[in-house]
Amino acid sequence: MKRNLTVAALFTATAFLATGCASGGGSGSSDSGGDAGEATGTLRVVVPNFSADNEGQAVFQSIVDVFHETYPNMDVQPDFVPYDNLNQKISTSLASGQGYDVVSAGVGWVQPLADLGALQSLDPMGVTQDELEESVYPSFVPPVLFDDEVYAIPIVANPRLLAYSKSAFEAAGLDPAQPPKTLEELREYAQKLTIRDASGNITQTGFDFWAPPSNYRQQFVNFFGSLGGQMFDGEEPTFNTDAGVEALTTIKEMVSDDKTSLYGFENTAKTSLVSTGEAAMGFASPYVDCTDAGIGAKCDDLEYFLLEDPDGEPVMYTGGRVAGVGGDTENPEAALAFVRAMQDPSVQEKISAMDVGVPISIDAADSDFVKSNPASTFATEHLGNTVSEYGGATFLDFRAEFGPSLDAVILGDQTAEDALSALEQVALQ
Amino acid sequence: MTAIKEAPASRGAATSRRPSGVERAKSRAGWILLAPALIHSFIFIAVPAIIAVVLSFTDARIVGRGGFIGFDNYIELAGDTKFLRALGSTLIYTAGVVPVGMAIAIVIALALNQNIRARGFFRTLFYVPVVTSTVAVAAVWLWIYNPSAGLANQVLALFGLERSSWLTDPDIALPALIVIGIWQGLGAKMIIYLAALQGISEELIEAARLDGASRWQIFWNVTWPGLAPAHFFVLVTSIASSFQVFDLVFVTTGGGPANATNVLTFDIFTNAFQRLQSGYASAETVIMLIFVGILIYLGRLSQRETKDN
Repeated sequence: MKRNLTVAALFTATAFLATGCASGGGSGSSDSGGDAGEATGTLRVVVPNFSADNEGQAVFQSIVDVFHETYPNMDVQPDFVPYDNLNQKISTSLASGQGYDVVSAGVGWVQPLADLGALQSLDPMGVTQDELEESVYPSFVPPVLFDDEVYAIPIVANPRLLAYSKSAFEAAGLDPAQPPKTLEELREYAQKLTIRDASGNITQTGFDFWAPPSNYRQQFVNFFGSLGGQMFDGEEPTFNTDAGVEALTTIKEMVSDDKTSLYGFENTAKTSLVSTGEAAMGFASPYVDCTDAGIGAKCDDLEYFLLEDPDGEPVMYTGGRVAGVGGDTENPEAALAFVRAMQDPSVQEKISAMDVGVPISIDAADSDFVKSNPASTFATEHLGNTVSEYGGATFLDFRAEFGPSLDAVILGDQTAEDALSALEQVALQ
Repeated sequence: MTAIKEAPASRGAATSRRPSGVERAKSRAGWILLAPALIHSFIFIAVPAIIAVVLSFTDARIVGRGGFIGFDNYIELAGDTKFLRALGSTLIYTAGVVPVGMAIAIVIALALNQNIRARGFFRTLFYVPVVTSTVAVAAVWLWIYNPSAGLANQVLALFGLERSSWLTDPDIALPALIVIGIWQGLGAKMIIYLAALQGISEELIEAARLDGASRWQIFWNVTWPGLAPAHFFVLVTSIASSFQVFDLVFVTTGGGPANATNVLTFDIFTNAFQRLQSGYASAETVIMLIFVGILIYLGRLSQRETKDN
């Protein structure tokens, strides 16, 4: 009896532990050889905003195909994440000592990730600032520099355009050939374009910010840029100014006072309301499908425009996707080859179509892809007139506070002056 | 009387007696069977908890990379308005979800403890939200709270009331989440109360009835005391789950608008994984655990008082 009980218990415990051990995963070993063609191992790649469906898989496979032309024997293990979970993935991978070999991220991530050691300098691998300035639009180079060294390569630009419906302009008595150029005009036009039912509910949004709650950051940066402002000068915050207050106050007035759009409202497809005809004017994507599978004939009714800064120069908000080599990778050369594969012109186009962007290479300006739709053409023409959202090693701290702080002003809980002062303190920490 | 006097002596003999071989084997087998669970608890609960406490005294941005800074994180938290607001929102959420949910669950359990038609169907119906993924639940409620085409505004319109922005209105968003929290937790509470109700002696109720007690008197003097152990269990589990609410906030509001639904767990997530401030987030976690402990202790105290009475 005694022996039976002990044996049974030992068996159960062993089986339990064995099951637990067996279920644990193991990462592939890596082994980089001197010759790229002979190198074997596994490259771990984290890529945000690649859809987990067939389209995302196909786009990723196209990168792998280009990479395999140089490294045919290396496996690639992708990790698809939304931007909101990117930091979580990177921080846990670093904490566990299994950092990614290749990290793709938004432009604002480069300096904080370089500071954390999640990205390594590409200078020793021969990637220079001069090379980037010749190959991509100049405004995308400063965000990928940290301590004067290159830490990532720009892949795709993600601008936000402004668009309006010509028919809605005509219906409101506005000249379709004269879009607004200043914030003041924009607000005035939005008021004229807003249509409400008898109960006061909006049936046609006057100006769509195309922003869910806590995400008016890019819109603010664009408005601020139209007043001549830049968010940061290097790592120094430069947004707590009269222009910053005016830009934020204007958003608040348009949303909460004029009610020319519904705060945080998005349609179920999360597409810009101006492209679906639900808004007369608003922020729009730099890619539009004018075929019947897309918005079809509505394309003819859409016109794109940008606000102008005090010098009369158009201003366009632009984010962007970059890629760099992981700080702890044992395969830096292979990782760089993968980053270069992401920069391949055909890959840039595929990522652009999937992630509402446009290729970032200067050479792509005349490509068939860019000319294939009016939004991409317009966006690419203005990639030299951009304002962006990035700002040094503490940018991720700042980014987490930025959206909710803007909300507090837009919803009337705080003044623009107080919110921007508080944000400035976060940026200075 | 003799037996009573002899009892302590025999108990003393039993405790001083050496366990037999079979008893020792049983004890050994018990420990061996318990070992996997203990190892699991040690590795996945005790060690992370200890690491969280240690991390809270560091300035680590990423786990394992930081220096000791003493109580600086705690001092900073004391003046962090975002953290204090998150703590307040969590307490409001708990205060809304726990007592209201418990009260409704008792009413439903009492109703479903009667011999009504389709009783099994209704019991299942109330339990469905418990076994449904929170993400699916949140998706349904997102539609209900949709400002332009949602069911909630359609209902308001029926009564001629003005539309609400629900989850995008900073004054309404947290109460709107409390409603979802109450609805989602109802089934679990109801099933525990139902089990407790079925454990209350029918004889006691019958005796009270024969003594002329009204339905209210029977409920208050017989049923309610009989539910005391269930109250404590439901209270403890409800407080713990209310403090841990995360997925619902993550899917529906993302802590917004303007941090109106930024509860503690979401703030910890933001600090750890958006701002990459693991040390600071760990300090928040420790404070959250202390609060949960205090609330559970208060619940235990009230339970003792009920027993004493």
